[in-house]
Amino acid sequence: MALAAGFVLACTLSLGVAQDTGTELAANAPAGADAPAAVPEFSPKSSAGAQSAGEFHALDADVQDLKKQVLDLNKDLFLLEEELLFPSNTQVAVFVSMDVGDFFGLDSVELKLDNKNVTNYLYTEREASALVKGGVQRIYVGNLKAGQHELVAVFTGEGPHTRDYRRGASLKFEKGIGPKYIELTISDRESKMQPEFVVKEWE
Amino acid sequence: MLPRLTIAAAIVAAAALAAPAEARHKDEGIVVQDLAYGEVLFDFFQEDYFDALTRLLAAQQRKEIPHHEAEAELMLGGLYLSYGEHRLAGEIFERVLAKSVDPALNDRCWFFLAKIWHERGYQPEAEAALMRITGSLPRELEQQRQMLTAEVLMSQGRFADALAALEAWKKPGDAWIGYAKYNIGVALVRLGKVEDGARVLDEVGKLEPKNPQLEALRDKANVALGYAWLQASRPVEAKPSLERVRLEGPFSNKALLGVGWSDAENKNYRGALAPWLALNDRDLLDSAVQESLLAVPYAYAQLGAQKQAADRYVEAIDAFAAEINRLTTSIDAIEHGDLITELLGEHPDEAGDASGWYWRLDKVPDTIESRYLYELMASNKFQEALKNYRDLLYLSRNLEHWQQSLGAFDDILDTRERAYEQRLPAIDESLGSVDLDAMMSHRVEFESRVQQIERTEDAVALGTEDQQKDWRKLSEMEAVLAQLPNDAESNELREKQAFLKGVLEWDLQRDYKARLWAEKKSLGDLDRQLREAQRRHHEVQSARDDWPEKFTALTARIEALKPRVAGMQTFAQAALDKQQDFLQTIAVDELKAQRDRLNTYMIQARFALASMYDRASARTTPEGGRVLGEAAR
Repeated sequence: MALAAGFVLACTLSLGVAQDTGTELAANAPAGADAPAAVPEFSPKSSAGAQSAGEFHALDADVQDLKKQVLDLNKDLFLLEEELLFPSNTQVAVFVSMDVGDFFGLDSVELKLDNKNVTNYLYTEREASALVKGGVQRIYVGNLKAGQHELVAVFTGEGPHTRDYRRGASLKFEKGIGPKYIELTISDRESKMQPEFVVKEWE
Repeated sequence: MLPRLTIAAAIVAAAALAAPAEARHKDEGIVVQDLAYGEVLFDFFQEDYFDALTRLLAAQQRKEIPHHEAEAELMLGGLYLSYGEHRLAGEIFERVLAKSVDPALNDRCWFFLAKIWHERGYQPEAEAALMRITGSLPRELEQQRQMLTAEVLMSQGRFADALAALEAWKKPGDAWIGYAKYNIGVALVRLGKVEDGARVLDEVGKLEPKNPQLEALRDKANVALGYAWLQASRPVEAKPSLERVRLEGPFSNKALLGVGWSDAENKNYRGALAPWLALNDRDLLDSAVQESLLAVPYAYAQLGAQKQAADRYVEAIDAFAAEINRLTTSIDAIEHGDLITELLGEHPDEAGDASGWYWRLDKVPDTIESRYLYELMASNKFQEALKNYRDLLYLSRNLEHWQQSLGAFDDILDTRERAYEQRLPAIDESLGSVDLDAMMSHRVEFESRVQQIERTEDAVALGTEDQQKDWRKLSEMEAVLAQLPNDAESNELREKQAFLKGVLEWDLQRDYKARLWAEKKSLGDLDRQLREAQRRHHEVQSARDDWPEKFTALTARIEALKPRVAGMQTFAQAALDKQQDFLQTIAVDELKAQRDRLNTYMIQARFALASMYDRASARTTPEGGRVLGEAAR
């Protein structure tokens, strides 16, 4: 009986075996009339595979172009939005940063501008971690008239010895013609084994 | 201000992703000196590459990162890479790294670029990037680089070069040695050096299975080895390695089939039946199980058990037909777009959230289609195409958001314009009522008056109103007293007047300096107030005068952006459709190939059955004819 010749096991040896790459177990080879029994396919990919690879590359190039164009467009829209909503002569932005963060795990920040609550921000683990790694968060952006103003920030989180911690910091500042940037930095005061909350004005 | 991120760590973290923890090093020096750069890092560390890129491009345009100009460019390259924009990343690395004096940074950037190029199928580019690595990478990355080099070469069919690269790999780590040897074995077999390849694969096949990954690798090597021997028509050698494969692992089906073929090749059909019958009860989705449905009746037929063979062929035909129907249903479902919805439906939050190259489909939905497509879905080609689809979906949603925002921008601008028009009369009146020139001239007069007082030391001029009144009275008295006779009474009056005037002058002189200082201070205060008034006047005047121009410029910008957003939406939708077509096509092609194979199996089963029926009919045995006749029906 010649049926054995018709049986083809579809087994292609995998190329990519590194743990973090996809395993490429290719499609089974179709049964050919004269294919030997139980033959693993050691041959390179078929022309159909090459064709789809070519198509993938053409599409990939299109997607790359499109992504770049949308990024540029997004940048222009971002700039327009900011200029429109927060013109530079009235803009006030408040930033949060962390220096090390061994003595304080940030949970939330509450901001009051001229005694009016403007933000109560709860941090996700990912956001808090991004701050610890060196990111700076723009927690608030708004508009203020020129003149004297007061900012009060209240930080809550976990302090030394895993105790709940709540601390405030305030700043009286003069808003001039240009945009006003204020940075709230949480840093570690090694000598006292305590966190320190510093408010800094940027020109 | 801030932490501690070295330039290199930031960039490499951007380029690396595999090791974002690197950015955590606390004491590596540089502080973030520009808030905008810190904002980019905040997005980057949360793996929001799209937002990080937008922020960085905006910051560069507004020149907000003067202190980080140089590393920002590399950061841009790293972010493009993280976002899957490998071409742009390559261009930036090419440009920026040429000036880099940090070879380690150089090497890491090229490594990650090579990795993405390999996974996206740009093998020559990946090879060129690997060639640019001049030193040794950190240990774990170095292991990956060695493996990547071999994979890139093998992907181009250059097995001899891959073999040479792997053999030159001096010290693969414990975790990598098995993979390296496996690849060497495969390369050797593909070069036709079966004996050599088998020796290497045999080593991998006997590795101590310390963890699930090594167990899987061991099984994989044993299957590869077994089939290498079978292909070389050496079934006896094939069997031991195939028998080493775990019975419940992902490679067990192929191993069982191979063991059967090994026996069958030696005419031991009874021996072959055991593994093949074991396979019969397994999931028909597996190609080895499908083939076993044909292999079992084949073995029965070889053993002369015609009735069992016929029964099994009939069962196989039914099973193939049912499977072909299911495949046809799945093909229809995929062509209707169900596959993508199901794939991304498993990650509804993520689909609309972050995007980029590091996302992977790690959980396949439990649907009939995906069960047929496990292997395809695990392939780089499918994964990368799905990432592109997902990125396009994100872009599409982003554009939709902006389209709505642009409408809101129009409203904001209109509201501001109306407010301006309403306030204009009041503003003009207010501006008109303030005579800055008169105020200035008043100030000049005041200053000359103070200067004159100081020059003449006119203490009376600085006296209080009462003092000045008293001084005037006492001075006027002098003329009257001069006309009085020179008698005792008049003289007393004169003495009194002189005494009072002296006392008053004393008081005036005593307070003169303090009063002069106070006047000068007032002058200074007046100057400041005047300057403030002038500034505010100027601001209001500028705001009043500039607004129409600003309004026109902002309107023009909004109007110019509208068609760009609309155009991009069209392009994004078209690209999304194309990408979906591509994914569906490769999935459908895969399913059709599976269906074609099943059709071929079915034809073979029918042909075998018909042959048996013909032979039985030719005989006179009524019993066999009846059985086969029933079977044929």
